[in-house]
Amino acid sequence: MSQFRVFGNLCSTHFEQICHVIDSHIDNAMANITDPVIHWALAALLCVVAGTFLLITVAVFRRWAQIRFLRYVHALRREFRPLVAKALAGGATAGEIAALSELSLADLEMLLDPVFSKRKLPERCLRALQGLCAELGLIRLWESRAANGRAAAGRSSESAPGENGAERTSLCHLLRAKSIRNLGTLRHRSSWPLLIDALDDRHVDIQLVALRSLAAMGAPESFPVLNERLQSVVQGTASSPPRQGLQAAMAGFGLDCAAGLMPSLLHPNRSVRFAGAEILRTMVYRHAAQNPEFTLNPGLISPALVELLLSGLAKDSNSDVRARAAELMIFLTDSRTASVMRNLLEDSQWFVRMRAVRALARLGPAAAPFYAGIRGCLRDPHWRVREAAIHAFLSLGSEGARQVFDHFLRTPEGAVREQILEIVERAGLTAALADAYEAAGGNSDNVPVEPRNGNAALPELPRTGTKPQPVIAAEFLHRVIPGGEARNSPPEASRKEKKGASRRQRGPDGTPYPSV
Amino acid sequence: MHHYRLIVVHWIMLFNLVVLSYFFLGNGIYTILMLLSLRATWVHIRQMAYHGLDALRLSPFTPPVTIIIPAWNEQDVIVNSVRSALRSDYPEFQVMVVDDGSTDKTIDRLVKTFELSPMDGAYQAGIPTAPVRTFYRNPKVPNLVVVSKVRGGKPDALNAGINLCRSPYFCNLDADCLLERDALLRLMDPIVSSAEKTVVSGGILRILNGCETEGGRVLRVGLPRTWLERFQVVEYLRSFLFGRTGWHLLGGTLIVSGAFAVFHRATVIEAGGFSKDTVTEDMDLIVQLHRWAADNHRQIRMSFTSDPVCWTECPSTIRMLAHQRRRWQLGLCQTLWKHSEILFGQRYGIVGWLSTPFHTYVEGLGAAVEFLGYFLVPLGLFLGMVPPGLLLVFVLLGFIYGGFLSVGAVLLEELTYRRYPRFRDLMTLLMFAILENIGYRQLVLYFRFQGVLKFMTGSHRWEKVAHVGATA
Repeated sequence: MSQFRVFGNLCSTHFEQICHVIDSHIDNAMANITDPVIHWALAALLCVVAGTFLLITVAVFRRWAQIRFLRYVHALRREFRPLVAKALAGGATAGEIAALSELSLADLEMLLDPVFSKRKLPERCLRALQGLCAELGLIRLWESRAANGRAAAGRSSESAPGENGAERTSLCHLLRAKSIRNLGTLRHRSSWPLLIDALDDRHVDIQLVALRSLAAMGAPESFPVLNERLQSVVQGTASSPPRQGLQAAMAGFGLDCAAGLMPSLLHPNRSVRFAGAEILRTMVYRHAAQNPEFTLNPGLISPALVELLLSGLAKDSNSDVRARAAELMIFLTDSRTASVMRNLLEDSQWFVRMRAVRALARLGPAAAPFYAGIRGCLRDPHWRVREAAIHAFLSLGSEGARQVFDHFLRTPEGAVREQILEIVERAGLTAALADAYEAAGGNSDNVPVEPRNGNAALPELPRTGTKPQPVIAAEFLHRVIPGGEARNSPPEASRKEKKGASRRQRGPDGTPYPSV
Repeated sequence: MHHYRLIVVHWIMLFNLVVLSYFFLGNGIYTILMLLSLRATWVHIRQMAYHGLDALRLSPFTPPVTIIIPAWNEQDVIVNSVRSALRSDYPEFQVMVVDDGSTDKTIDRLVKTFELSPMDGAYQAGIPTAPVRTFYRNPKVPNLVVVSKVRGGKPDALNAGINLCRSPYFCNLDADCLLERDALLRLMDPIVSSAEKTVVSGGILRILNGCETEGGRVLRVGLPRTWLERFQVVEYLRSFLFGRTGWHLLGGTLIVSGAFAVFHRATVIEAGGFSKDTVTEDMDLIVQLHRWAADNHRQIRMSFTSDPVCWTECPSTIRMLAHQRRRWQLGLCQTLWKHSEILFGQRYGIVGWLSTPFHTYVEGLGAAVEFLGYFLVPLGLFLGMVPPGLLLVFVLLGFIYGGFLSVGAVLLEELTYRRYPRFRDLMTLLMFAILENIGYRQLVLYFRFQGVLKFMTGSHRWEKVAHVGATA
């Protein structure tokens, strides 16, 4: 306390002095106001304050302008939506089209933008839209923008691509990209040379949109040009367009263009061959996804390509190419396919074997001739091949599942048992496996199961329900088998449910990932 | 005596120069970042008009992703978080909740809600972690797996998730976050579109407090009610919209929020996974990846996009805010200290020459410099050691310019995403952007200063921010 008293006394004694010091400093400060630093600081302060208010004004104005703009667009769409719908349905009269053509091109673009933002347009609607856009002059506008402001007339399919590709961008790339997208959505095939030119644009977004639009158009004339680009990009002699985008675009073409890949598939560069094989694989699988009975019959691809697949790609020095070839083999109807596939199941590279096994899993019961090969993969040194083999067997129906159970009960390898157990447990139906164990007639000593938790021998593993065994088995098969077996048991409702779930199941359950 | 006075005067003058340089450097770089982000974000938002996400959604080349949600005592928020993740619009994904030895009902609630059953599963510890105990699955929800493990901390839980994940990419998601439906798709877009190998892709965190939610979905976006949360809304906008975007554009990304980011699994494993050395494992991993890439002569890219949105709960009390900011500051200092080799390292390019020095000086030491500046500059003026012009500049840079930058962030939001739909929200945001620098900034600065002190005392304590359940 005494210290505080001393301090208080000291303050009161020197109070006048302290006040004097403060006064003198204020005087100094006022005197120093002429100091240039203070001038600059004050000027900067004012600028910053003014800048802040400017930003606030811009923000408020922007919001106000946006509200006005949205109201305008909303009113425009509300007024003309019925007319557009009628025109797209093909029922608009000449007078109604004339009413639309009175609108400015910008308004028309705004009006039709929701239509172009849709994922996929029905064919009839697309044809009507093509006619409408042509009549309203929108196609000419978009072609002109895609051609970067040049006259587009001379750059349609009659002239060769690449003439004016390196011209400097003058139009806003956002506008151009949207125009190119619209041409693609419209599938306006005669515009393909403009889009090929756009692949040389300095803006990568334009290149990507042009690639997607080319894929959407599917003009066969553009495919060889893209193939040449692919070779240049893969070999590093060209840096644009992006390789992934290019591959995805080429894979989007129809199978009638597949023969155009021959130069890449026969190329001396292994990476080019791989890129070609990957594109072909994606093309084929895209078609196969739409048709369960899909096969690569001679009507779909050329005999030369079939020959190349069997005798070239399946024996390629690049193991990645062989892996892709293995996935394509299952769609061939040629009699030599079986022997080539068996060789691929015994390939020196694990991922070739894995892809071959996974491909066979797609065949369903038709893969029965390959049982021995797949069973060999259950003993593969690589765990992913074993996993693929387990999945493959389960997808081959009840006989395949029996093979897996049998292997589970007999194999002395703990890692293999663990893998099988995991997949069975993921289905939540260990009861089926338990029944298989019981059917084997052994006790827990005879069944070499060492679950991770340590305390759960097989018969004590949790059963998912008290349903009678056949129901469980059917449900088990239904859940773990992604295709072929569905026809055996599940009702229509569950099949629909499964269709949605199967896509989700692919990732976690270890079925094909895009790259290994 | 005169001699000592001279020394004190010189030290104070020197400190004033340090304070000035801190403000000039900090505000200067932030202004550059703001200008860069303004253009880039504006262009990006328009790109999406023609770019769309369908190509990615339908492409066979879109890689699968595992969403890893580490959880420790998150019973109030975990269910909705998982629901929002499961609702993601993405071709192939799995949601993996890694329960890090919770002592509350986290597991029970998950088991009950998603009807999970305990099951065995294979676990290969590629990155060493605490033991994994049980796996929970439901065949009806095939892309959900819950893993229970012995407590080892958040980095340990994430590492366990990485060991278990089978996809080439994984996405970190905090248990108190809600994903927007297309967030994952938008986050993967820069990875798939880029020709370079993108190993990290970060998105924006927005504040959930004040929003109307239902079952893990944000129904209506709104501003929080309390001033503390509103200040944080402005702060997040500034930090994410132009801080992170700007650093990404400069190629000097040093922080990607661990609450929501996608990583390339194999690269993370090669770099050693999440480290337990610091309390901000996300920043630590990013810096580690930079070092790994430079040491191994690998070309990697880290991306940040501001349209994948993840909604997160912000602290609603000063106490929780203090916990959060102390931890962030402590983690920043720990990470910068741990990776001090990067500072001015020739091999690290922008990261070594600009990003790390900036974070060290402005974000790390700056907390102490600014905090002490608030006392020493007025004291210096009082003692006649500081010219009044300097005080004016201090006020200008510390308060007024900060307001300018915050208003800039709100403008950026207005020009691009406009997530707060009501006109009143915009005006409120603008008001809080100006007020943020008077009071709130100093409060946060105090917590950051405490974080620096904790770092200097060698503390490693993780201060958990309790969630009141804005996601619930």
